[in-house]
Amino acid sequence: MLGLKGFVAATLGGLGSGVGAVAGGIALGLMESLTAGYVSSAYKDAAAFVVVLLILVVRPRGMFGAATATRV
Amino acid sequence: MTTAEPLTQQPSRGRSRTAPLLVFALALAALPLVLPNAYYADVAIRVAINATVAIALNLLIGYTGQISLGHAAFFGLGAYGSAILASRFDWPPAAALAASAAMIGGFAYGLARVILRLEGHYLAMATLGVGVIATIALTNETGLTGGPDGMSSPDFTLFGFTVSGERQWCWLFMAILVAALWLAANLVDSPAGRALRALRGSETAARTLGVDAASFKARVFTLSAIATAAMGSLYAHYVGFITPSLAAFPKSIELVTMVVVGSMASIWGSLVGAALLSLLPELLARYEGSETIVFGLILLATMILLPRGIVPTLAASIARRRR
Amino acid sequence: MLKVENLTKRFGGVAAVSEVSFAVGEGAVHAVIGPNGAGKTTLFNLITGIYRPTAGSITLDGAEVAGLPPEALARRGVSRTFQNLQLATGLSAIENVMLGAHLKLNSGLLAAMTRWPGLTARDRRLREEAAELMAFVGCGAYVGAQTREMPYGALKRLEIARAIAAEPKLLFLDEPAAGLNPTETREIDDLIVELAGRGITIVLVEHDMKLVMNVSDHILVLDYGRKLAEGTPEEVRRDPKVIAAYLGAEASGA
Repeated sequence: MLGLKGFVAATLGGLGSGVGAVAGGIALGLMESLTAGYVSSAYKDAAAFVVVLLILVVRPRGMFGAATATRV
Repeated sequence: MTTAEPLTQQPSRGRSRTAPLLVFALALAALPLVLPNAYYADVAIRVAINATVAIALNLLIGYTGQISLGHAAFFGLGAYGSAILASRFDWPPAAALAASAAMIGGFAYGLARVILRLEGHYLAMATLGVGVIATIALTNETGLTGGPDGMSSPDFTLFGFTVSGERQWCWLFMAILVAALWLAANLVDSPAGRALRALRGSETAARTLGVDAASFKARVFTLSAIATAAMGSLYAHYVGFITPSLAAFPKSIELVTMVVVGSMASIWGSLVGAALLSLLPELLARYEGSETIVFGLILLATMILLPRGIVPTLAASIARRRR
Repeated sequence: MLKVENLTKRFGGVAAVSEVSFAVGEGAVHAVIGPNGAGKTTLFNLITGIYRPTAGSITLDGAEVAGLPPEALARRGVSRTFQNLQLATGLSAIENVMLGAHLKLNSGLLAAMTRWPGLTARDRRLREEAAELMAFVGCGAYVGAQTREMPYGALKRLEIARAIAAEPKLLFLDEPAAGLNPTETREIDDLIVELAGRGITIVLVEHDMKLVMNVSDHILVLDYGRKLAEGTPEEVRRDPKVIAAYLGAEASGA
């Protein structure tokens, strides 16, 4: 699960960005803990993923990911 | 998802496609009569189920070029949907299956329109996330699903006829497999199929020709999800007892491995991949627990040594030997 | 038929195309020329819906189409080829051409899977038409081939065949002769004239001056994303600004 969480954090922060990786890790950890505290500890992993999904919808390349332009 | 360029088989013309399929169908029809006991029938059934799901997943991964690392979620949700409606709410099993598949289809379509905008690793992560969320939900909603200990599911009854015994189940799943092969082959060699396949190579060009990429991707995702959910439902009725591990990440990886190893964008390849990887656990029964590692190794080895997957590589080497 | 007014596209702080205005008349052949980086392909991408303009308007047959996605423009009869070929590698050569006719056929998934009556027959007819188109553009020898087996020149023609299969009103050709030898270039020349003769309005980007001068009714010259000059081939050839910026290099034998 740890490796998986690492992948999630990296993607959340935006691939190709060192700052993103750190930010993603912190964000994911915070979301998990907050969910465990305020919602339910059984669902903390699920909630973290839900938030990650929501963030990806708004920022399709992660929080700090580089936007690439398609060269046609 | 992979760097290797897959070999897509030239879709065969109508009549020449029906012949091998017919032969295969007859062979499969005879199979339940030939198998010595229930154990072998069970193995055959699992292969058939995996193959059908692999074909459905291949349409998404191999042909349309989208990745899904959470497809087992649809399988598990289908299984539980059917089991819950049939067991806890006493629905007729056929209705439970239909309702379950329809609900999951609706959910999948909504999901697809949202996440298929994502590319590459981000899409992989999103699908992975969906799978994890589904597994956790199934594990925690103990009241409905029986939690990690699982729940039971009744027999499958249609129009008063109950499917019972390995042989009948075997015929049912074989028939479904043949139907899946036929439907998938038809789809590939059609205007819709060409549009899907074009999305993999050059989505921009396809769009300039009028292909509504977002809609197509969402539709094939939904189709794949519904097919997988339906197979999950039938599996629940067949096996009689299900656990949340059906929706878990390792199962999703298994499915992707079957598609990639057999060959992406090759329907028969999905069959080979599924057969190989379904039979493997039987052979590795003594190494219980390390199946995921073995799958991972096989996936690695195939990508390095047989980048196009088993079927095209074999086909190519046979062609070479003939020359 | 096509009117572009003050079209601008900015990427970050850089304006790739800046306040370009021009009109394309029906049935004519228009060329867009200019040095590398002048914004020609960006202009194409803006008009064919691949980029959204930062400012300006694009009118097609009187209707505003700026910012519409490529699929919507395809439905209005716009088709194009690409500077760096965008052929689907998963499809065989002829299937790529058949893809061009996508909008003319039933593209439902369920209809396809169940072999809805009529679909197979229409598909077979489409395959024949596609083969004819491939022969028409000059790559008929590759009707049974896969794209990876075909030489570059044939692939360029294949893309043109695909674009024509859509039966467009307006066809954009992005450097159709790039990478071709003089003989092949002359054949593309003839092909463009033939297509124009069939009533298709053509807009092309090209660096080969002979081709452009031969084939075009009207030329637009871009430089640094701005319109430098516009007119008939004769007018453009004699325009001092154009000679200085672009043709001058050609004339000195570059």
